[in-house]
Amino acid sequence: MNFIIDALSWACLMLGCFLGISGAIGIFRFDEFYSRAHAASVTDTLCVLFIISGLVLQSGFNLVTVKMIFIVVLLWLTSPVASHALIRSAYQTGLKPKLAITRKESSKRTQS
Amino acid sequence: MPYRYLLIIGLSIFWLLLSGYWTNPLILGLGAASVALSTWIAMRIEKKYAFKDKGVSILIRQHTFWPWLLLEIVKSNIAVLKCIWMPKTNPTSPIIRQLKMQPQSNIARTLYANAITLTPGTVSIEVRDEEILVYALLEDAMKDLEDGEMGRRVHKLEGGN
Repeated sequence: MNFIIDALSWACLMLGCFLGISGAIGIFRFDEFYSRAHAASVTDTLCVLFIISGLVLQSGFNLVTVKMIFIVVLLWLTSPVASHALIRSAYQTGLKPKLAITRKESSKRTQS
Repeated sequence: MPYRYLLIIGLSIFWLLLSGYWTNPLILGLGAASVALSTWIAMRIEKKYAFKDKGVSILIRQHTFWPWLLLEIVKSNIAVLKCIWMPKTNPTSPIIRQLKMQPQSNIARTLYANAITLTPGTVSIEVRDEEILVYALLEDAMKDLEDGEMGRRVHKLEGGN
């Protein structure tokens, strides 16, 4: 039983590490500000969830578990606000995103 | 009025879980004082910006929304990961579009915009009265939003059909 829990928690931790690293790589690999913010949001969501659930499996069920669940909930509630503020300020100061499909083309497509 | 009691109960549970010392009277007293202080500050805010929405019913219905949102987050994470690791086979197609919002009350709109930003691949840029400006990394993610599954679910949370 102990072995199974250990294996599960290690799998969760490794998956979380992989997601965190790929978020970091995505920040460097994408070519402009807006898409880089998306790469960072991979780290914000599932990476945090997997790492914390791995730690929860390690610690067993006690008050520390509850605190770690609080960390996930608070991060998931606040990180969208932060990235929204970042992107909104970039958009309002006039940084134009590189679009594959411009707004005019997309409105034409929906009309036809 | 009920929000005051809800806030006090919630803050007390939060404090008790974070502290872990449930027998020491000094620490319990400090906790009660901090709960009272934050409730007082919240009441002062509410005098100016009254909270009129149906917050309690939304809180009760949350359990139908979060499992679905978790599934969506996993799906969109996989899509963004493909773009990161295999940029040649999965090129990004950034797109900005203005969408109609189904949710009506302020709190449901906040929840909707937050849920859009929480899923990787889509970010809400601006929220106006009825409309929301969304930036998506992939065209498929934008199509999913246009179909309005998420909007319908948030609208159900606030008691719509």
